[in-house]
Amino acid sequence: MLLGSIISLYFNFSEHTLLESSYFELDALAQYFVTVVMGVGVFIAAYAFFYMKGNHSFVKFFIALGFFQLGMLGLALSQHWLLFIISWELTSVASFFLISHEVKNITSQKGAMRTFIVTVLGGLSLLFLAFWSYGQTGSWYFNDSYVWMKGLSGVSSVLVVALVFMAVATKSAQWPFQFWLPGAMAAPTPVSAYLHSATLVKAGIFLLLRLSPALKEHSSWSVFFVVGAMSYLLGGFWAITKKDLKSILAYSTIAQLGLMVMFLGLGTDWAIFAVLVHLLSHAFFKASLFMSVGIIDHSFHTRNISVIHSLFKYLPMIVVSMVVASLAMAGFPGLNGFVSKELLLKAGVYQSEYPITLVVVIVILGAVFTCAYLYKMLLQLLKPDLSKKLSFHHPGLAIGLFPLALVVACVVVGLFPYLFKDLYFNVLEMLSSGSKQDYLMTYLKPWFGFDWLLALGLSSLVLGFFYYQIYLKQQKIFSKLASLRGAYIFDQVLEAIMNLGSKVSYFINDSRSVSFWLLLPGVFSFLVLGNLFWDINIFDTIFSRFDFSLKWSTTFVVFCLLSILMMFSAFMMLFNRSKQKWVDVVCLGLNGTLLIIFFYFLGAPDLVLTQASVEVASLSLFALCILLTGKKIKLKNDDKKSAFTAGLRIVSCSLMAIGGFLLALMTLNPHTNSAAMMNYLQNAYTLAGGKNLVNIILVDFRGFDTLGEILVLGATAVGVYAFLRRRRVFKKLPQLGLYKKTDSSWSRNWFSILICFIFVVGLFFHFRGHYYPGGGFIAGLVIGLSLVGQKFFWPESYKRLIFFSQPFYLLFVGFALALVSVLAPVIVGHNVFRSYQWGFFVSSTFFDTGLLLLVIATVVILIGSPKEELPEEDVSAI
Amino acid sequence: MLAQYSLIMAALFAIMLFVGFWLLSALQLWKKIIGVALLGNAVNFYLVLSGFWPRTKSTDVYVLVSRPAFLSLGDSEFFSDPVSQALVLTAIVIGFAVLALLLFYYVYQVLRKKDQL
Repeated sequence: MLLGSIISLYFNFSEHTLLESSYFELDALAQYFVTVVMGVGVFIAAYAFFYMKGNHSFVKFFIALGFFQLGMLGLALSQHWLLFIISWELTSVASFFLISHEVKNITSQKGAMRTFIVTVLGGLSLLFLAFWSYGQTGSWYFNDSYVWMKGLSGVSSVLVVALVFMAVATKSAQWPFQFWLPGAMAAPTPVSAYLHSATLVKAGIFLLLRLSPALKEHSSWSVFFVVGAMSYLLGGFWAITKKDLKSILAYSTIAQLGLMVMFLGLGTDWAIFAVLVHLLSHAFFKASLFMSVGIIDHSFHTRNISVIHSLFKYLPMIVVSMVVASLAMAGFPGLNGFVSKELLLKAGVYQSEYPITLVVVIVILGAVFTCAYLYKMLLQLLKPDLSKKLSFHHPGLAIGLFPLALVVACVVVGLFPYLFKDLYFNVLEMLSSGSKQDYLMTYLKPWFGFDWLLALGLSSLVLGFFYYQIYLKQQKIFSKLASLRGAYIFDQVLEAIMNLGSKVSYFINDSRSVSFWLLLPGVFSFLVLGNLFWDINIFDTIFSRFDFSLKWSTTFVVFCLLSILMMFSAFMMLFNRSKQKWVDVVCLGLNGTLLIIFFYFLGAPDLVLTQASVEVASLSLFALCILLTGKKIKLKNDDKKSAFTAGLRIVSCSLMAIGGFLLALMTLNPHTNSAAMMNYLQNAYTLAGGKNLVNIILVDFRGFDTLGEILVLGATAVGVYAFLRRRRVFKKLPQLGLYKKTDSSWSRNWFSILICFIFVVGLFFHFRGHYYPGGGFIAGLVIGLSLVGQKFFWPESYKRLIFFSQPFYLLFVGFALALVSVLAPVIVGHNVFRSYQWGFFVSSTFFDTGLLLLVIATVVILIGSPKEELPEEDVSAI
Repeated sequence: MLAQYSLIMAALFAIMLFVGFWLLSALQLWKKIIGVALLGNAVNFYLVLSGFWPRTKSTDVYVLVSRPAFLSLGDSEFFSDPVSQALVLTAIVIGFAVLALLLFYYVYQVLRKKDQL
């Protein structure tokens, strides 16, 4: 990731082909944002490497961090609403995984969930905005959207601003959605430093910057000023009441973000300029503070400031960087915070929309709060206390360099603010209509001379100290005032929604409730029957197609007999009162077997083979299940249901049946060959080189579908395997002694010969699949069954028979083979899924072999996976 | 086409659907699983039927001449539709895997209850 950061910093984006397309564009604003994200990212990645060393899921952490960076890059670069929203959501998802990194910690899980729900709320409103914009302009691009937004007026302009507000306030933790940010502090510290102070929360600011040229003229835009100011003051007020270091920093972040949102709400060029400068400063000093706190947390195993004391004795280097970063945040001359604070004050003065005094007073009041909690944090950490000894282990010098490096950056930027001049200049040129950029750039200097703004700025340092003293005297009042918790309200609301959901779910989903019997079948039959009765002619058309004279023929007699048997098997299942599971299994088996014969008469020999082998496999599964769980069904009587529910059950099942009957009547009628079929027929031999159309469709024409299907199959097998391995009860499976040593070598040898024969038959089916009934699926089932049989009859030799110690590997090899054979034509410059013919041999056989291996593995996993001890191999017996 | 075939097939499909849904809505998990398997059979049957085309060779003699779709079997006019068959082939195999999943879930439920007792 470090490498990625560096490459993306220095790589010239605009020469890249993908980025030249209009989806992504590295305009000035994107350049600015990418610089912030990647610049801080380099430090964080290196810091995280040290911080997370030895963590149980180191790799998972960096994968999630990489995804987050990807999302941020996409966010910065996209010029297309959908891409922007996908990136926006990607950052939310990555943030969820990063916060919930400590899987066993319940607070971090809760925090992650809260964060995710709140931010997704914003994503939804953004999505709504995007669809609205698309509906109005017919284009997904920002440029067209700007024009539309600019021309809005009245209610729709208010609504657009409200949607943007939802997105910004949830992402940037503004009032009233600020509560997720302190909860997100359960994340590992590099995450808090990177996502929740420097980058992710700035995404909302970024969105505001992007949309400000289009929207800032609307009167409702001032909502950002109000809400920003509120978050700024409330965040600062709350921060001082906290004891957890990371909580303090979280509320401080809320406050600083509020400051930026407030100035963007002003919308002047001056304000945008000041926000641009401040965003960069904030990213540096806040990330540095977070890193220091992470190191403190690491060495003392606590973040409580009332516990930690005499920090200078333990970690002098950290103290230095913390003090300098705090001074930067408080706006001490010579540091980057000073420059941005001065610029913000000037921006507050050089505007005409709001009373100058109001803006300046809010900024200074917030600054007083800031200084107060910084005093509190530093003084509590540094106070010498000899009575208590702290458990401490030294984190090593290397990790302390990272916050120090960022602090050095703070100083450098503070002394030479014009370092990033081009960055600001380009953004301003892009966002503002005026030509004040050159004039503004002259204000990028470390010292502005003595004037009343400087005096005000510095006075906050002093006033902050007094405020801190007041806080020390009146702590109870402060904590009472700060006790209103957004998170609590949110949890209550969420719980109410969950309760409602479970009620609804009972209403539509529980077979004991009456409504269940009405709702689902009711809707279905309403749709089918309603559709039928709407157009009475449908009945006419059904009946006009048919010839109602009864003609007897051998085929009809066979069909009648089979149907009667099949109905019999179904009714047996219905009226079976026995508690024996075997009865059900036998009825189902009869049904399946009759289906095989039907398939034969319906001209589907491949299905005959498939259904036959699946019948065998299901039977062995059922046998296994019955052996494990006992022969009888546990009683849970259906009679407990009321007569009314029972009646409803009959009615709704009948409605489903009638719907199916009518559907079948409508579709089972004479028709010409479908166009798809004719197409496959004509091209089967020339393009795919085979004669069995079913197999050709599976492995060639519709190979992509099959690829998806085997993926599902493999996923199911893996799911079953994981389920059996992970669940505690399966570890205590009764040993059935299924895999006993065979006594008689005579019977064993005969069985083995039989099984070898089945194996060979499977291979035979496989290789003739392209021309005659057969193919990968069928052969896989047959061979898989033969392997399972071998496991049962001669378990000692089974281990040697299967080349892989785990059938899993076979699963992956099969899928990989299928995938490679599909992609291989690309190497020679052809399309994927192309097939080649060499005489009788067709290249899609490789794909088919992939299917074969995967299906073998699936069968072996599904039937052979219950944990049974295999007896040790008896060498002498062979 | 003769109505006799269509009516029988449709009735068979409807009955299988009825029994399948009946079992699916039972309270016991075991019956539910049997119901799912039966419904799978019913739908597979219906899909193959929809590609099946019983036709007359002459006006008088009604013979079913739908053939499997093999190029080597000649006259393509009498093939049954291979597209739906290919669909059903994978559906059968996936249905088997799902059945396995359900059965192991059943085993899990039963064993867990035993564990608690």
